[in-house]
Amino acid sequence: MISEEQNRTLTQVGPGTPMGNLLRRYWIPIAAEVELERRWTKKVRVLGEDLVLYRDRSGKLGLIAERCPHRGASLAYGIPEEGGIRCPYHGWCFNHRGECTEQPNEPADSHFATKIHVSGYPVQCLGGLIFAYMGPDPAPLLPRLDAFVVKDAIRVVGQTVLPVNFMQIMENSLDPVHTEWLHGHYHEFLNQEMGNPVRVAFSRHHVKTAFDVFEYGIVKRRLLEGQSEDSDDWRIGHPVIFPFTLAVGSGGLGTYALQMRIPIDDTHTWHVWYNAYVPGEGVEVPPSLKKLCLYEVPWKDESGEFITDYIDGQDIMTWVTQGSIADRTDEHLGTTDKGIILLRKLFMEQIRRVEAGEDPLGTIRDPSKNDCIVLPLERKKHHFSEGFESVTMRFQTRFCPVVRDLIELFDSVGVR
Amino acid sequence: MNPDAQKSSLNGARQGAGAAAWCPACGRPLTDKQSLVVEYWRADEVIYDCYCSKCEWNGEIVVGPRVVIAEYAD
Repeated sequence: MISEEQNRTLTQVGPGTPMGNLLRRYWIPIAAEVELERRWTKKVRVLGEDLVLYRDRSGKLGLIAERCPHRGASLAYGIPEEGGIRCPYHGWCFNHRGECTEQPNEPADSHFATKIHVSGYPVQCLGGLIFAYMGPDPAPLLPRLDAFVVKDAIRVVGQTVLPVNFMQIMENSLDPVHTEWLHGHYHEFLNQEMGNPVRVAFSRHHVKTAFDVFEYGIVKRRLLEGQSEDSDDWRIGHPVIFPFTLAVGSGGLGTYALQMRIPIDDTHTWHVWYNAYVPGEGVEVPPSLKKLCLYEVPWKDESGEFITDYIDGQDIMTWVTQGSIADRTDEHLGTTDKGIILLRKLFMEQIRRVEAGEDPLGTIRDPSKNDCIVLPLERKKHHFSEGFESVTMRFQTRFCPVVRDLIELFDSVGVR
Repeated sequence: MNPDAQKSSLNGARQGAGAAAWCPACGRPLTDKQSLVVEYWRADEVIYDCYCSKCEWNGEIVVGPRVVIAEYAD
């Protein structure tokens, strides 16, 4: 339980809020590159700001406020120009910094345009995603996480918008015990109801859990019943990359899985599942797997009920049923919630650092540290011990249109 | 214990939140919006895990039903 005021500090992400100021110090995914292959613009709402991502005629990407400051029309319907985007309503043109560069129908000697500007943010591409930086200059380096930079990888990216605040999703990642119940016993219960009483690896009991802050976030570790302390699950674990990414791994040296929870506003989160698979040298990759595959992850069925027969759907059911912003003034935490408490404190500490003019946790400014950030990640993860196909079909990857090709490929080459 | 009685018992214990109103290190309020006081339970103990945004003290304040101390041998 925390106070209402402290809950607001943790969950309000708009401009000028303490959390909003902190989150603006990080590069934030806003789209996949493939989304702008056949169109010029994409409406983006992030941290409570309505923006338009666009590709200009020179191929350069820009991100500026969505509404034209003239009469408020949406630039998402704008006309791409050589160095910016033009409002479709009266032709005002804006460059990547959000400066108005032309007002075609104003007098030729008018300097009115120089007085007009909107928000404009830098963008960069990495690993098939487009990232934005919405904080003060100078921008830090865009972290080159291993999953983004690994070469010759097959990349599939699931996405959905969830009607909840990002913080309750992040808290779930610091709550290892939920996996034993939600993805273990609850999943077994559903199996039983379907006449298929199969046990799952997730239901193994947690003996203990541990959380360690490291330079990019928090590493969480678990020891399950029957495991020795030499097990990867306890010795290595996997990290939450501060402030909104979980690196869950996927059970082999050549596989990577990130879950990114990007705050759209206080009550909505864009959830992105980023998976990269490296089949190894000399493996012939089928054409269907050569290009990044972006797909939607459904979480409600036709009758409006949550789809809970897959792991991420189970998580989503709990996040959404907690309410749009979890009421932390009426919770009852126990000892297994220490990871959640640590995460909340880490956010508060980093808010203070930013207000003191310091860089928050995970900021990278030294290029020599940013060639490839290899994250600590268990490889013999007990939860994935049932094999590539079983795990892939029980996570949201089941909805990936090329999942069968992926499974077939790794059936033949094996997961490294 | 029925659920209602249980809930009222928890709420009663929560009045101990006053124990964590002030930072034990610098004496300033822990109730400001950028400090954090998280209540959690360990068996019968109510614990306030605290972060003070003013002096950055980080620690726990425990409201326990009893105090157990070691008695030194002569």
